Formats: sequence, structure tokens, C-alpha cells
Amino acid sequence: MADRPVEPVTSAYYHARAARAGIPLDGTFELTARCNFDCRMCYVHGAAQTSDGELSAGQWIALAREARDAGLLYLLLTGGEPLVRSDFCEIYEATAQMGFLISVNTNGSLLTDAHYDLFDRYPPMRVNVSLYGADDDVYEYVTGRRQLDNVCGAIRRLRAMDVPVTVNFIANRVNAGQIEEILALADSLGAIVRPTAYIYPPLRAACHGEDCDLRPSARDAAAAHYRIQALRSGPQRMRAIADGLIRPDEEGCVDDRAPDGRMRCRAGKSAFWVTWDGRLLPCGMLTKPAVPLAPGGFAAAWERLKAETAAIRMPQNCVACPDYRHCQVCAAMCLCETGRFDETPPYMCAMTKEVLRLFRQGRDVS
Amino acid sequence: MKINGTYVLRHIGDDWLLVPVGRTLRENRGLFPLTETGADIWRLLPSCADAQAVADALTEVYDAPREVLLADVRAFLDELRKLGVIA
Repeated sequence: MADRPVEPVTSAYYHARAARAGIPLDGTFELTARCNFDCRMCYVHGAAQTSDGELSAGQWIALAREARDAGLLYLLLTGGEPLVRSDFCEIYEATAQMGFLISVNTNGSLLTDAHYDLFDRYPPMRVNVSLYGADDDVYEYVTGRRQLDNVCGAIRRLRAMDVPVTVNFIANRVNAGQIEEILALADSLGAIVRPTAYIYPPLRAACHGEDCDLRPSARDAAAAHYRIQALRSGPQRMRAIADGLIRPDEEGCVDDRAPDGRMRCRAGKSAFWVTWDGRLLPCGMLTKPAVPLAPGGFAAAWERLKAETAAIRMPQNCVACPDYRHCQVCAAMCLCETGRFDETPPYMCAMTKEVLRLFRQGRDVS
Repeated sequence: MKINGTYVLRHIGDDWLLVPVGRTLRENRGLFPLTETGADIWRLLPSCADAQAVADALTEVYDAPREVLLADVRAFLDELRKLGVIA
């Protein structure tokens, strides 16, 4: 069965130190909102597929230098689909020489010999490939494209080059029945799987067709989450989750107790996100706080972002909830689901309660 | 002194790190944490032929007996050799 991603101890150590010191250790560059796929549930997909307003390669490279000087170490290049940019190789090659550990998010369908040659000369730390289904009918429904074979071929080629690959898989209404197949497929390709059963409402995207919302009900999302954990965990781990010793979503963003109601993740503490049009966010799922980035202004923007993020408080109902420490609720979920930071998202609340019920039920009958 | 591969020395907060770059990342995955002294030694390697030369350069910066500095330099270079960073 495909391995679960485990954060290296060194990464956790440096992130903890960076969060305490307020250093922007971990950054995401959202190079574009454009994509050659047309996924119904995309979080950033724009109705217009144009490069207008995108930062130029020179601007991204200059920004990378500024962020490096401020302490950036882990850099993720993402989109949309970053490889739609004709200057992706220019951006990647320049940043790969700056002393970052670089990862790339991609749908895996646009890799060419030029990209493979580039990754051979400058291996990424990891390539994260999204898999949307285990057959092309599901692929086409979700993404508008029949690309499964092409994507699997790309993963094989990357693995043959010894490039670590993580498969990102989001269980939705259409592909949730293929969880076992996806896990087996990733395993056969030599990839680690990072599955999730929670889909953020697409706050930053334009609805671009019918059936944009592939979110299952909270109850069905919980069932998918439980099934994923059951397939990847032995009985001891399942029992530890049921007994409250391990959180049900170890691989999520939450990594801090923060009992005073502050955000529990690294966003705006040691992590940041730069949008395709040059705004600095704590996290790509948020629309605020957003600080415009001027040339030469990264350090000041980061200080402002930290201050504004530190003022965010989770809903009191969540902080006081006995299941809070087991719940993956975050500020982005609150904002996306309710429009406010201080309002409990009913969907996540229902999903967590159902997840915990399933784990406890599983423990009690075993 | 010849370094095998390409590394970038990073100073992040109070931490010094050697980050492998390019094909070196495939051969030597991961980060190499250094002390501040280790970072000083690392920066001298391209311009120094051997441990003696590094120790000589360090005496300009550190208020410590040369033999102590030389012992530290040799220990650090031994670690780099074990990791394959230098020959």
C-alpha cells in the first residue's frame, strides 16, 4: 500500500524555530491561475484563461531573492498549472540555484523533454502530481480531459529519474468510490499518496460550468476520510485515533495546539503564499489578509502579513469544543465556509463528529 | 580545497545550513546544519589548499590557539569527507 507522507524531523524542527522567530521559511509561488484542465471544483480557476496580470519571470525571480534573504528555504511552485507558463523553466532554473528545497505542483499532463532535462539537472525535492480518478471517464468528468495514461506516464518517468513523487488525491462525489484503486495505482507507480476528503469551497475561483460543487455531504466526506485511514493504517493506529491519542488527520495543516484561539497552522507564522497577481497571503485558501507586493517590499509585506494574521482568532465554539484537538478546522475553512473567521463551519463540524463516531464505532466492534 | 558538487550556504535566523543544489541534491539529499564556526570554515574552503591554510585564516578571526583551531578544522573536514562533500 502506498506510503503515507511523513514530514522529516529536520523540516518540523526548522519550521518550529521559524514560527517562533517569525521567519518566512516556507513559501508558495502561485505562478498562474491558468490551467490546461478545467476542473469543476478548482480553488483558483479563473473564468478567463489569460496571462494578463501575471507576474513576469523576472518579477518572480527577484521576489525569490528577496524571500531568500528573509529566510525562505522550502519553495513550492504551483498554479493553476505552473507548466502552462512558457517561462516555467526560466523561473525554475533560476530559483533552483538559490539554495531552496523546491517542490512543484502539477497535473502531470504537460511535462516535456525540456522539463525532464531541467529536473535532471536541477532535481526538485518533490513533484506533487494530482490524480483525479482511476479511469478516464471519471478523469474527464472531474477535469474535462482524458489524461490518466499521460499523467501516469509522467509519474513513471519522474520516478525512473529518482524524483520523489507525491500523488495528491481529493476524494469527491464522483471519485470517492475509487479510493482503493487510486491508492493501489499510486503504489504501483512508486509514489507516496497525500489524500484528503475535505474540499474547500472555491472562494477564489469563478464557477465555470455546471456541477462546480463536487463536494460530498459532510457525512460522506467523513466516510471517505475514515476509509482512507483504514486502508493506510494498521489496527494499532486506528485504535490510537479512536482513543484520541493521534489526530484523525495527521497529514493536515494543523500542527499547533494554540489554546488561546490563534490559528493552529504555519500560515502567516513561517509560511506564506504569493498569488499569481502578486498578493501576499498567509495561505492559498484564504482571501484575506492580503498584502500587495511591491518590488523590493517583501520583507515589509511579510511583517505586515504576520501582524494581521496574528490577530485572527478561531471561533470560540471551536476552541471550547472537546473535539477541537481532533478536528482539522482552520481559519481558511471558517472563512471559506461562513465568510467569517469567528464562525464555526457547520460542514467541518459535522464531518469531524462523524469521523470520530466512525473511529469509535470501529474500535468498539473490533 | 575541492568541493564535490554544488552547495549553497544559507543563514536562516540563527541557523546555518548547507543546501545541495542541482545534481548534488540527488547524490546528497537533505540539509547539512553547520555551526557558525563551521560556516566560517566552509566559506574558506575554496581559497584554502588544506586544513593548515584554513586554520591560519581562522587565527585572523578567532581568539584561540592555532593548534585548537587546527584540531577543529580537521574534525570538521573529516565529517565532510564522510559525507562525500569533499575528497
